[in-house]
Amino acid sequence: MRIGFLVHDIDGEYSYSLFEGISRFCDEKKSDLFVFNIGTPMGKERSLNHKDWTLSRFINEANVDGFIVPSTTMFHGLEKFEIYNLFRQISDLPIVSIGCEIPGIPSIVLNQKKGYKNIIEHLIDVHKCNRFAFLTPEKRNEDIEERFTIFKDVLNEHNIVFDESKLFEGSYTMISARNALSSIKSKEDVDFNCIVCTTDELALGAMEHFTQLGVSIPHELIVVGFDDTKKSQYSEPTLTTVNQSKKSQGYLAAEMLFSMHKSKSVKPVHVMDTEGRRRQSCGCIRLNDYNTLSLDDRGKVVQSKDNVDTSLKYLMLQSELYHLQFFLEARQANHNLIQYAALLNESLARIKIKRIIICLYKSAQKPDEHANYELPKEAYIYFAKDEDKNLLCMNRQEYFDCSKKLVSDDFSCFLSGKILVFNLEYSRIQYGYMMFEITDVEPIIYRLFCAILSKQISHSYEVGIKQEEKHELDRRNKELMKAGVSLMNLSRTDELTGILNRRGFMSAAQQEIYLATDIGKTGLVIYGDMDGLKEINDRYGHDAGDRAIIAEVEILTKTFRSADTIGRLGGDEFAILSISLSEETFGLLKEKLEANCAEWNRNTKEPFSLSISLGAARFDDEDFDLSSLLKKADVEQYKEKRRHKEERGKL
Amino acid sequence: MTLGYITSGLETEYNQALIEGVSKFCRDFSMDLLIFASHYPLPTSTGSFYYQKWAITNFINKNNIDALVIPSGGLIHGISKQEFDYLVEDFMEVPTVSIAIPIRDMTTVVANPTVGFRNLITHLLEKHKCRKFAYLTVHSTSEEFQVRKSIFLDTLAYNGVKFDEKNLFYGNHLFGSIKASFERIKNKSDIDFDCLVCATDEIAFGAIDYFTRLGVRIPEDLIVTGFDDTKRCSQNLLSLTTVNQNTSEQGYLAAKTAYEKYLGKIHPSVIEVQVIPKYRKSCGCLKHNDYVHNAMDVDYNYIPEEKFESSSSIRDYFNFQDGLTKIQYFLDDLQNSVSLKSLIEKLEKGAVEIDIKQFAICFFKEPIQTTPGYIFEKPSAAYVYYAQNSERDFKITEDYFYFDCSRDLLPAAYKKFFYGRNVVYLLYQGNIQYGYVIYGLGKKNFSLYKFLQYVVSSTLIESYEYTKKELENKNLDKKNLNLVSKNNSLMALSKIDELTGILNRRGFMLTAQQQLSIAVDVGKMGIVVYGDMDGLKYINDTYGHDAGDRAIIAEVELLKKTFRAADTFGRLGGDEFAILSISVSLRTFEFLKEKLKDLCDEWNATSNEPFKLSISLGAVEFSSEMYDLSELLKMADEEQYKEKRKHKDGQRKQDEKN
Repeated sequence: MRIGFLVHDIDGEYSYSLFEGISRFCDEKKSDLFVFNIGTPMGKERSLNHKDWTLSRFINEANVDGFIVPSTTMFHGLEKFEIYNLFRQISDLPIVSIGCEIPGIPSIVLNQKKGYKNIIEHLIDVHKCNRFAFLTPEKRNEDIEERFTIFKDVLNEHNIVFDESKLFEGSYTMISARNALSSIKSKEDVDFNCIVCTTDELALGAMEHFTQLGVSIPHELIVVGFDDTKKSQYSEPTLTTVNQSKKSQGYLAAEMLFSMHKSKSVKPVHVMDTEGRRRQSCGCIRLNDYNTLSLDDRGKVVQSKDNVDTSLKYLMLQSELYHLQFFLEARQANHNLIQYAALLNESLARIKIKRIIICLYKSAQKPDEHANYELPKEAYIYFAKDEDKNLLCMNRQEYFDCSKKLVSDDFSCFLSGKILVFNLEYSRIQYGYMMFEITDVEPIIYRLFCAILSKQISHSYEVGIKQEEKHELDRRNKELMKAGVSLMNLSRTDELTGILNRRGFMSAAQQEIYLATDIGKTGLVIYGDMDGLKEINDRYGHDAGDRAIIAEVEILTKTFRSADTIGRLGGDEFAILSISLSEETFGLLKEKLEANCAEWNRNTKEPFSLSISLGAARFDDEDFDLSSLLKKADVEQYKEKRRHKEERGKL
Repeated sequence: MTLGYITSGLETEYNQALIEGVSKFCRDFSMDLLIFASHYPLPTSTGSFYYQKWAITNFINKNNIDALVIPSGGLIHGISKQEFDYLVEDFMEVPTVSIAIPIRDMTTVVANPTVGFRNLITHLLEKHKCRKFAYLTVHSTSEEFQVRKSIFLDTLAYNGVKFDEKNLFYGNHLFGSIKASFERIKNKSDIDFDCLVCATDEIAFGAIDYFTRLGVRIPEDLIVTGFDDTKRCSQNLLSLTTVNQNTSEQGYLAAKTAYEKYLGKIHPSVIEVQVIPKYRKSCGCLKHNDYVHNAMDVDYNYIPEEKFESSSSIRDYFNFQDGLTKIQYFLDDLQNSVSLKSLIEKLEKGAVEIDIKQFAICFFKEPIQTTPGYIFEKPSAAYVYYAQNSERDFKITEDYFYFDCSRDLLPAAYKKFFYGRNVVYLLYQGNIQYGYVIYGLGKKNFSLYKFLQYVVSSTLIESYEYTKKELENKNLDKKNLNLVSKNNSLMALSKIDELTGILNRRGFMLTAQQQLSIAVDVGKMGIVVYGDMDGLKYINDTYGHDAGDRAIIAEVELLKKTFRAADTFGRLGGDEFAILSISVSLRTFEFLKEKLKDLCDEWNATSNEPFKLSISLGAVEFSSEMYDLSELLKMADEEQYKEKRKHKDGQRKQDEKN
C-alpha cells in the first residue's frame, strides 16, 4: 500500500512524531509512505494559501492509495464541514484525520481529560495548590475550550473556587503569554500558587515572565503546560505537562488506513489517552536532578526513547550538518542548471540522501497566493539518482504529464520506501518539486537540505536565464556592430562608382595624412576634374555620363597605386591621396594616365572620349589640412585644364 | 587591546574549549578578541580549494590585533612543522603564543600528561584491581601518542605488572574503523584482558561499541578508558573514564601569556598545564543508574558538571536543533531575495535571532583570482557593503569608499562598533576571493555559527554574482541601444548628401521609391521631377569649386522654396537633382517652374555672388501602370533636356536679338 501523509514541515515536532508512528507501521507492513511537505496551506482570513497547497494535487490514485492528515493543525480555523469538503475536493481516496473528528471521515481524537485531570488533581493533592490562575489563548478552538472546561470541572469537584480575575488570555506564542501577564508587574502581585496553561508554549512564556520578576519556580509558583513538546523537556526548569502519544496516533492512523484499503470497516472515531508528565516546574523532580527526567501519572520514571544516547544523536547531527556545509561550499555561483546538475551529483554523495528525483516544470511558475490556479502539465526529470541501483539521469529534456503523476512511468521504481515530496520554490516562483528517500537522519537536516536545494536550483535557473539573456544580447551586439560597420562603409561610399564619397574621402584621407606626417612622411593631394562630362551628359544623356564617370574611375584606379586613396568629391570631381609620391613620379603618372585614357578611347565603343585634368598639392608636417590642400590642388588642376584647352585650341 | 586567535574550525570541541578559555581571559581583562576563522592548512595537492581558508590570516597584523594565540596542535595536520613554521612567519610582528606544539621561538602552552595519566593507570590497578591490560592507540607519527604509550608502560612496569605485547592494538582515528583493530578477537571468549586503556576517547567509544556487540558488559566484564574528555564522555549513557586535558585552562593561560608578552614581560619557553583524570561509569566508579553525577576526581570526590557556554548537554542538543530551525526559517525567508540589497534586509533580521549583534560585509574592489598555494596576493582596496551594530543603533549600507584593507579590516570609524568577541572569515568560492565578513560571536552553539558562515557565504556570493550578471546585461542592453541609435544615424547619413543635406542618389532612390509605391497603393498620383543646373561647369571653371559648391547649396534652397516641405528632394550627381511630389499634377508643375524661375531671378538680383543661377526641370506623372522610379527619372531627364534645349534656344535667340 502507498500511504500519503500531509504535513506542514517534516521537521516540525508534532509532524515528525506522527511520521515516526506511521513510519513504524509502514516498516512492518512493507508499505510505501509519501510525505507531502505542504507548508502552510491556510493563509490569512481562513482562506487557502494556494501556493503551498499546490502539492495536494499529487494526492490521487496515481500516486497513493489513501492519506492521513493532521487536520487540527493543518486547517486551523476551518469549520469541520469545510475541512470535509476540502478533502473530498482533493480526492475520493480513503482518509484518516488526526486531531479532530470530522463526520464522514475516520478520525483519531484525544481523550484530553484523562491526562489533564490527573495533572491538576496531582497539583491539588501532592503540591497543595489552592489558588489557581489559568492562561489560555483568547480565541479558543474546540480542544483548548475543552481543556478550560476540564480545568474548571476539576476545581469544582475539589471545592476550589476559580477567581475569574485570574484568567489570562493571549494567543499561541510565548510572547503573547508575556503580554497577557503584563498586568502582573512584581513578585508581590502574584497572589496564586499555580498557573495552569493550555499549551506548553504559553507555559514557557509564563515561566520566562515570572522568573524575570524574581519568582522562584516551582517553590513560589507552579507552572503547568499541555503537549509535552521537546522544549518542555529542556526548559529551565523542565516543564510539567500532558503528553499525547503522537507516535501511537501516527501508527494507529496508518493501521486504520490500511484496513480501509483492504476494504475492512474501521471505527469512525478512535480515542487516544493522554498522560501527565511531571517534571521540575511542579516540584516532582529536584532542580539539580538529571534534567530530562520525567514521571508519569503513577509517579514512575518515563523511559523516553528520545533520551537514549542524546549525545550520540548530537554528534550525528553535527556531522550531518558538516556534510551540508560541504554541499554549500561546493556550489559555484556561476553555474546554470545544466552545470549545477553535474555538481549536484558529486555533492549529493557527501550527504546521506541516496535516492532523489528532481522534476522541473517546463518553465517556472508564479502562482498567485490567493487565486486558485492551474499547475503546468509539463515537467521533466532534471535530476534522478539511486545510489544503490547505481542509476543516474540528468537533464532529461523529455516532458511528461505531471498534472497527475509525480514522475513518468519509467521512473516509478525510484518511488518506494519513505519519500518526502517538497516544492521547489523561491521568490514566490515555483520551479518544480523534488522527492527523496527519508532515512534516519534528523528531520531538520532534510528541511535544511530542501531549503538549500530550492535556493540553489532557483539560483541556477535564474543564472541560466541571465546567461541566455546575455547570449542573446551578445549576438545582437555583434549583429549591430556588423550592421554598423557596413552602414559606416555605405555612408562613406559613392554609390555609382563604389569608391569613397566626399565624406568618406575627407575623413579617411585626413587621417592618413596625420599618420604619415607623424612618421615624417610627405606626399601629394591630387585634385582631378573630368573634361567634358557636361557635354557627354547633354549630348548622350545622364546614363552615358554615368558610364563615363565609372570608366574614368577605372582608369584612375589603374593609374595610381592600390595603396592610394581615391574619392569622388562631386559630379566630375575626384581626389587622390598618394603618400610618398614625388613630383617627378606624379609627372610620370600624369603621362601614364593620358596613355591609359588614350588606350580606352581607342578601344571603346562609346561615342565619347575621356580625359581628366589633375593638379597636386604637397602635404607635410606644416601643411596638413586636407580642405586647404584640396583647394590648392584644385587651383593647380585648373591651370592644367587651361593648358589642355589651349593645347586643344592650338590643335 | 585586541587578542587574535586562529581557529581551524569553530565546530570542533578542541577549539570550542580553547576559545572558552581565551574568551574568559579576555572578559576578565576587558580585552577584545578577534577570531580568524580558518582551517588547518592542507597540502595544496589535495586539489580542493581549502587553501583559501588560510587566506584570512592575511589580515593578521599589528593594526588589527595586538597579540596572537596560535593553537598549533589543531592547525598542524598533513603538513610538516617546518612548513607550518614558514606559514606563521609573518604573524610574528605581534607577540605570539603557541598552544600544544612549540613553533619558532614562541612561548608554548602544553598539557603535561604524565602525572594525570599515571594516576589513571594507578587507579585501575589499585581500585579496580586490573592486572591484565590491553592498550589501543592510533597509527600516528605524532609525539603525543608516543608519550602516552610510554607513560602507560612505565606505570605498569613501576607497579610490577607485566604487559603482554600481543595486547597492543592499533587503530585509525575514526570511531567506525575500530573493528579492524581487533582482528584477533572474534568472540567474547577471545578476550584475555580485564582492562583496555585507549589513547583517545574516539577509539575508546569505538572499542566499547565493538565489545558490546560481542556481548561484553562494561565495566563488569571489561573496563575501558579514554583520553581527552570530549563532551561525549560525560553525556554518553555509559559515561567514559578518561583524562581531561584541561583545554580551556590552556586557552586561558595562552591568552594571559600573550597579554603579558604584549606588556613586555618575559616568559619561559614552555608553560605546562596538568591533565586531570576523571572516573566515571566505564571503570565502575559511577553506578549505571547514577544520572546525577558527572565524574569523580583522584580523591574520589564528585566533580561538578563543567559549564561550557558552547557545551553539549542534552539541553544544548535541543537548543542546537532549535538554532538550526531558526537558520532554516532564515533560509526559507531568504528565498524571497536574489539581489544583494534584499539579502541584507534578511540578514539584518536573522542576525538578532541567533544572537549576533554586530556584523560587517566587506567586498574587495575586484574579486581576486588565486592560484593554489599559501602565498596570497594582499588585497589592497575594499569597501564596506554593509555594517551594523544593533546595540549601538549603527548601520551603514553600500559605503563605496575604498579603504586599504591590507592594513585594517575596517575603516577606523566603524572599527569601534566591533568590540567584544568577533569572528572574521573570507568570502570565497572556488579560487575566487570576494571579500570577508566580520561578526560578533554570540552565545549560541558555535557549530551554528559555523554553519551560518557557509549559508551566508554561499548566499552572498550568489547574490553578488547575480547582481553582477544583471548589471552586465543591463550595460550590454544599453550598449546595444546606443548602437541602434548610432546605426540609425549612420543609416540616415548613408542616404544624405553631405554638401546640401538633402538625400543623395541612394537615399533618394530608396525613399522616393517607397513613397511612390505607397502613393500608388492608396491611389494617389503625382510627379517625378528631374533638374539639371545650368552652367555649373562654367561656375566651377571660372570661380573655382568652392563657388560651385555654394551655387549648388543655393540652388537646393531655391528648389525647396519652390516645392513643398513634404516633397522628397535628392541630389543625384554633381548638378543633377530629383524631386518626388505627390498629389501634384503636371499642370501645377508648370506654375512651379514659373515660381522657380522667379525665385532664381530674385536671387540673381540680390546675391553678392559673381555667378547666376538657373535650372532646367523636366517632369513626368507616375501612375499605377508606371511607378518604376528609375524609368520615371529617365523620362523626366528627357523632358528636362528638352526644356534645357528650349532655354538654350531662347538664350541664343535672346543673344541674337541682342
